[in-house]
Amino acid sequence: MDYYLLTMCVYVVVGIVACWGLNLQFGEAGVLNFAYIVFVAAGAYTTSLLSLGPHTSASYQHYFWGTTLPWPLPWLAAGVVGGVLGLLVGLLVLRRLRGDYQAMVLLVVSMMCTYLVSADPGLLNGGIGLSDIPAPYKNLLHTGQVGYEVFYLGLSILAALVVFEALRRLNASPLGRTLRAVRENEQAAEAIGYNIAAMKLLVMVIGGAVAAVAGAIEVEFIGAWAPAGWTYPETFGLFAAVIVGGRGNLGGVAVGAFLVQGLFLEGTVLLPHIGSPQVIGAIQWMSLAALILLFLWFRPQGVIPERRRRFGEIEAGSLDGALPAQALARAGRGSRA
Amino acid sequence: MPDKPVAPQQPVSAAERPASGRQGAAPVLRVAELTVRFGGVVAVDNVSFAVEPGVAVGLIGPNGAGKSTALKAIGGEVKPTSGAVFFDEVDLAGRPPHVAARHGLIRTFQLGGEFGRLTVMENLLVAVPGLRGQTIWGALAGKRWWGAAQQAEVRRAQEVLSRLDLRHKDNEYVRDLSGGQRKLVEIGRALMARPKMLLLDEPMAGVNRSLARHIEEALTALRNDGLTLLLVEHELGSVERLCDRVIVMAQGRQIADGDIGQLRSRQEVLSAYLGGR
Repeated sequence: MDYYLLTMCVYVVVGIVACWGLNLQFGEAGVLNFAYIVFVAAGAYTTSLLSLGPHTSASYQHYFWGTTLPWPLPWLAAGVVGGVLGLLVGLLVLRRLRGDYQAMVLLVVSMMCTYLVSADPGLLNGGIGLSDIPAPYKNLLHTGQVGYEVFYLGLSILAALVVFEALRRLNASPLGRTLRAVRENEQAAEAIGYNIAAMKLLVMVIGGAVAAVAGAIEVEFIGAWAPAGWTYPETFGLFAAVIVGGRGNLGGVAVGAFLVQGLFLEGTVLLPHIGSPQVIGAIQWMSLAALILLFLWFRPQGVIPERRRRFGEIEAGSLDGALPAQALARAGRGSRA
Repeated sequence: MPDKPVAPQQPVSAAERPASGRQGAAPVLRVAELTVRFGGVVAVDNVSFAVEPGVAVGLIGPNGAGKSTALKAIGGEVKPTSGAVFFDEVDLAGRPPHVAARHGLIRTFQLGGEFGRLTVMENLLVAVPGLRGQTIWGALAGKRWWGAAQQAEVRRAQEVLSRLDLRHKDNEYVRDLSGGQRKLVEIGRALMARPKMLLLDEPMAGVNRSLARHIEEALTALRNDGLTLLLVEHELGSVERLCDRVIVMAQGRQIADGDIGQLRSRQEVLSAYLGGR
């Protein structure tokens, strides 16, 4: 039971980190990144290649390149790769297309990536995927399986705290406010001086990096990664968590990730077998879709809605009592004029 | 501490009030042979005019005259087919709206120009250009880096809101305000962007009479202090009180340019508005 609970805890932490990155893109900036799972996969594959060691002819699995780096370098490199991938995909998608078309193209990108990796066995071992990915310091720590899982959970939580603090600062800052303005009304945001493509590109890079770190955490825990684990519907599982938890609220998104990734998806596994083994999987996705619909209809703000940013009470302004013309002009007078 | 009541301003007509703007100053905006075509339709046909600094100019004409399209082409939202838009001697024709805004040419919208799920105060603060914490590194540095700079802008925003009679709404979501209040928020937001010139697309359209007068007073205050305005508006009474000069458009063409009082008697203006009566 301890083993099961610890495993679930790591999965939930991975889900929370992944959902935080998606929340930055979708919840804060309104970018419908239907290829989000690709960035998780990019992090997982990067970490695998930086942990497995060089490929040899005797190896039972094939990959185009590999080396061995100590932790935390594979996780950091995963973040960098996720960010660069975000930049490349963003440049492809964000500059010339409107939001709905961006979403469609990103969905296509997600499918293309899965097909590409599955089709070429020499790239990342094809549809079978990579396995025996070593966990950090497992051979050095003689703690037993449960002890190591506690250690790994600690590493995961550490990474999650770093991501949380960075995203918390970003959300609270004027930049976070600008992203929310872009989400609310791109045209109006552009009319006051913001380059919308650049703002969206920024969240593609940061969100991509966060997604890749989530993938890095996950792959070194489970020790294997294959295309079947990052098909496009997985992205909708993460969207469900953000919608259920409360887009735009880091705490809410964490609750959503726990509820959807931890309880809801795991709960369907406990259902009694009905017919073919595939039925449970189908029920899982159908109930996830129903959950998204129910929340969008009845509680679109999620379990914990986005926090209203309040500013201080009236301060005795230096302009009290001035005539409207003078006051407005003084208040509106700008450095540009 | 409650806001002090704002003494109502009595709007006066252009003929009664002293001329605003800097006499003889070089134009801040110069539109030259501006043409916008959508397929076979010529929405704006070879329009040219100049706006001097500190002057309020009205762009009027019947529905479908091309006023809003001309305004969008000047602000960068619509790409002109040909022609030039010089703002402060920089040709902005075909440049995107954010470039125009960074030069100080700020546009407001006829409908839906607000950030609904941002509070009134956030709507104003988001427009402040170059505020600390708007870069990724500034944001990651935390509130100690940008907090003081923001606080100064919060005070400026409070002053703007007080004079727009919206101070008590500063922590409310803009989506919860009335249409007229949203337009006032948009004007306040434009002011926070430190504009050299405002492009206003029907600022009083769809607003009740009381709020429309409030908007007119706010715009009058800005004009009196020397902010340059170019506005599209159907309410001719407001245009007459607010604008130093009007440009009349019909069927995409510019048919008159001058004082509204003088233009009232011109046959081509009457024809455009009244269908030839």
